[in-house]
Amino acid sequence: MLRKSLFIAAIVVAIAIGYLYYIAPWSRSWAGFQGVKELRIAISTDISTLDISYATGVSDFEVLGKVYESLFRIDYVDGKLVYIPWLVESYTMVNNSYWLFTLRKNIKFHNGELLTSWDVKASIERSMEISPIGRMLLRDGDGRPIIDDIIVYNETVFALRLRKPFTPLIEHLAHLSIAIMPRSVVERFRNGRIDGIDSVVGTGPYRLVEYVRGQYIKLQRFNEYWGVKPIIKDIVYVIILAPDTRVAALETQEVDIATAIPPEQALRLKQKGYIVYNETGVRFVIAAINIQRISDARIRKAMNYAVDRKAIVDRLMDGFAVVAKSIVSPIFPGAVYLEPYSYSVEKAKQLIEEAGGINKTLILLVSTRSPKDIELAQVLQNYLLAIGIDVEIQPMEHTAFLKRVFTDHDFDLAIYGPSPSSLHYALTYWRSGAALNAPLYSNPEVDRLLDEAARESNIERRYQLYERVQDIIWSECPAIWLYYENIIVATRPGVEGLKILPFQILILDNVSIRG
Amino acid sequence: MSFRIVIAIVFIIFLLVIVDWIAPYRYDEINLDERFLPPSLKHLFGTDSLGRDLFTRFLYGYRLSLLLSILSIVLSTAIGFLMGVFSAFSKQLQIALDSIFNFLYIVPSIFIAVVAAFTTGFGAHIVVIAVILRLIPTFYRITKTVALTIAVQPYIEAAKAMGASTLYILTRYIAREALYTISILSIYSLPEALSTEITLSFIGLGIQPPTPSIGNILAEGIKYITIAPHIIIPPTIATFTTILAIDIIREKIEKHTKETYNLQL
Amino acid sequence: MKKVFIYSILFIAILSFIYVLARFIPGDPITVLYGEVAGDIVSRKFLEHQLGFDKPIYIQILMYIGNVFFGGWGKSIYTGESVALIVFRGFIASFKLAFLSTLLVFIFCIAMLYIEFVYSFNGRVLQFIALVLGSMPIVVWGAILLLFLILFKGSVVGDITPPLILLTIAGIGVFYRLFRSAIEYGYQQPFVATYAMMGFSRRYVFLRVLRYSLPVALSTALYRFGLIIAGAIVAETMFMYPGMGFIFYTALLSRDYPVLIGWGVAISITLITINFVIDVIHSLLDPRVVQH
Repeated sequence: MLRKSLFIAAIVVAIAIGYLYYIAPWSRSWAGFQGVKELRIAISTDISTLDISYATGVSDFEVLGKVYESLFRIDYVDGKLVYIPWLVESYTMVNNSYWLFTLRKNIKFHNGELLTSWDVKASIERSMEISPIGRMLLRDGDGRPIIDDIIVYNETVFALRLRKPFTPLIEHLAHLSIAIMPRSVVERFRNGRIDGIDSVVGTGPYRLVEYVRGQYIKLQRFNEYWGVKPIIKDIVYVIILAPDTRVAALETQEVDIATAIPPEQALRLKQKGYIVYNETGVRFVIAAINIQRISDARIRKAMNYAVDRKAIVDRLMDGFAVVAKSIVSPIFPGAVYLEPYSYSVEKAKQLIEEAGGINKTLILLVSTRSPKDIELAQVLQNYLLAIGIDVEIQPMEHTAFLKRVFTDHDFDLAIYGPSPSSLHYALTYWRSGAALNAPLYSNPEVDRLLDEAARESNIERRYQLYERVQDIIWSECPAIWLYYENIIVATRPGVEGLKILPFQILILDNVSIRG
Repeated sequence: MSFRIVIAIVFIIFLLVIVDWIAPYRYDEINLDERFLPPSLKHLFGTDSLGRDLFTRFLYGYRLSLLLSILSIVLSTAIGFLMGVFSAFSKQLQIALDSIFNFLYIVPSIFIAVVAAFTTGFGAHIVVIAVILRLIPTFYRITKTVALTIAVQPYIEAAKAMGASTLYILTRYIAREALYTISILSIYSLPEALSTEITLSFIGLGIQPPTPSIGNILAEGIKYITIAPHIIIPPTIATFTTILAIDIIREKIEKHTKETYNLQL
Repeated sequence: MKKVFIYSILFIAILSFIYVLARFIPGDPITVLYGEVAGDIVSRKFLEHQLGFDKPIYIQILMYIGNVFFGGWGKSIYTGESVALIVFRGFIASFKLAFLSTLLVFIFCIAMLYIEFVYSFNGRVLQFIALVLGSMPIVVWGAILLLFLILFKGSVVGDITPPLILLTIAGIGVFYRLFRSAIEYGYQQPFVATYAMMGFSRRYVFLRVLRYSLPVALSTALYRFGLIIAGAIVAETMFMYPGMGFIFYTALLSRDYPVLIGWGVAISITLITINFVIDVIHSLLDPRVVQH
């Protein structure tokens, strides 16, 4: 009898504990953001680092870009990009290698310190040294820094002395990888990675208050922000990797905004009354061709003729993309439309025949991060098969993919999408030996023209030089040029004032939520 | 009764062999104009996100998944069985094997499969490795137990006394007895093998596109569940009926064993 | 006492095994095992020395076991966060999930068996239900659940309910059969006939049989508990529940080797502990086990 009652008691206790455990508020793992009124945004990948100088991914800049600011800010007006002075009040080009800047006064960092020229100097120098993107933006083709010295005159006035003339300087300084942080933080971490949220200190409208890896990132409005304070007080970025779950979360009202919506879902969401933003993006999806493995330009050309871009854009992307007619997104000032490679199997076959055919199976690498890219790979495989080229697809996890493509160059074809922030930067991808030059494309003429353009201060002549560069690269086909991916962001009805930059950066300054 | 089962199995094997002839399309034949079509006469099971015929993909995928499952079960049966039988005869070997298989029982097989994938690349072999690692310990344990119980039976003693060699006893008596149990067990493990393949495909470790497998089609179907719910239906029904069929076979076998057991009484 | 000894040997052996296995992963072992990214040669040499990579393999293994024991599990390659912390957080979440799911499965199964044996409900119907629940792939249940959640505006991200439902469904499918055969075996025991003849109610007899087959049922349930902590990968990733399966999945996607290895270690420790607990429970509930 005793044992029996003990047994029953044990079961009752177990059930009771289990029940309490479940309903008790502290045990809810997502208590961090449930029940509080705030803006919830679903993003597709986790941030890869807390240190904006080490940032590379879209999510890194989306999240940390709310915390940090650069000297200039990139905005998107009437379909074109503009670079406006931001932390800088005014600047003058004294001569073509000496620029003088004046900072705005009374800008406060999140830790209460005032922004001074010393902070700028420390930040730019750090970025130039360690940031993977900053190094590309602020170094020339030979890897030498563009900036020779940063001369501080007083608290708010400083000058950049350049090693040689560099006209796209402002555009490059606007990139968030050259964000300004306090000198104290720079001195504490030097070249190491900032790894605690207390040290994530910027001048931006929001502060980072909580980060749970793989789950969410919480930002809070910085009340001493120097500019116009945003309406939204708290932002929670929820990391949802699977696109379908991201859409589902929007539909169940767990998030207010969902980014990177798959094209198939966009139409359905629109029909269900959600607001769908659809902007031309800068992500240029290409299938890079390893020049060293496929050195015959005729074969590379043939591949370009073999692909029906219009079908891919209209069908696979449901129209949420733009057929590539240039090698930089049309939103950049100075982008030119070039003679398109119109779909023609005969022409492609003829070119292959002239080149003597291709007798091996090509390896097509694709990152598993973007489901659309894997589908695209299969479509390309099909098109290339039609002109007699056998392709084997190798999906790879993203970091491994990046290493194999950009460091080892061990591929025949690789699908990826560079997202440049300026025209000059976009074109330097194709410079000999550039870090993002995966196909190992090299043309001394291109290098020379780019150097010349960097020196040229007349904007007309500069654009002419750029045009020639674009023309050469386009015709030499170091890649199968495909399309510019649109940026699709959906919000629930009631979220107003959202603006989207072509880099998939959300501008939340004027966002308000009703209901 | 068992005759019907044999016929059914032969029929399925026949169907899977002639897939190459009855499939109406190529499994990787893309048609961007026909994406997400619902089932129709032209496409019996509809089409997927790239306009590929799902009927064709299903046939190939089912064949591949089934073959991989069976292959890995056969492999693990063979290894587990041999090890189990041998361990019944040598104490040292038994201790060594016991500890190895205790490892495998505890270290998650998927962990070893992941390390294998990092070292050798992703693909079908990862599925085989994961399934084998999962099944071998069970097979080994059961063979060992059966072999040990038989080894102490009086008739083995008698055979030994009559001068039969160890090898003879192993093959003649013990292996035969244990084989019966293990073969039944291997049929039961098919669902386990199938679900391992599905899980691996779901997390992207398994068979890589464009090659279809049950897990691949399911994973894709779930991605597009709100747009094209028809994609997941065929693989779901296939998995379901396969497992159901195995269950019926299991029931039959159990009944059969009971009957023979009663007869012996 | 002897058991404790055996299990600690097993523990050490498994850690060594994982260490050796991890060394197979291509890449720099310092990064793979501890997440330390050493840039220049001097600090690399220092790290190698500190972590014992210049010593023979058995010393390395011993050092590694020591590190694991004292919480030095390295740090994540990507965030620099301590692996021990990441894994611990996941473990807590998974533990909760596993506990609730096992409990629910247990309750449902007992209820189903109660209906069947006490009220002589047709067992085939229940068995068929269990079969249907168990033989549909869990991803399909997940998809169905997702559709329902969208329809009824339930939570699809991070909440415990969806994975709990999935695991309970799958659990009933697997567990019901095992539990039922244990109970059936219990009913064949002589004491049941005695009780029946003595005129006890069917409910009383059922409870006695339940008590009789409890050790078997409990150890199966505990084993399943361990499996959920280890491998509810699909259920957790589909609904972003931040447990062990989800940690495994994200670490796999980002090739965060130290986290993956930490995951393997944590799972192994969990499963060893559970095996140990099963052993102990068996000897407590069923004293005959000790006598053998």
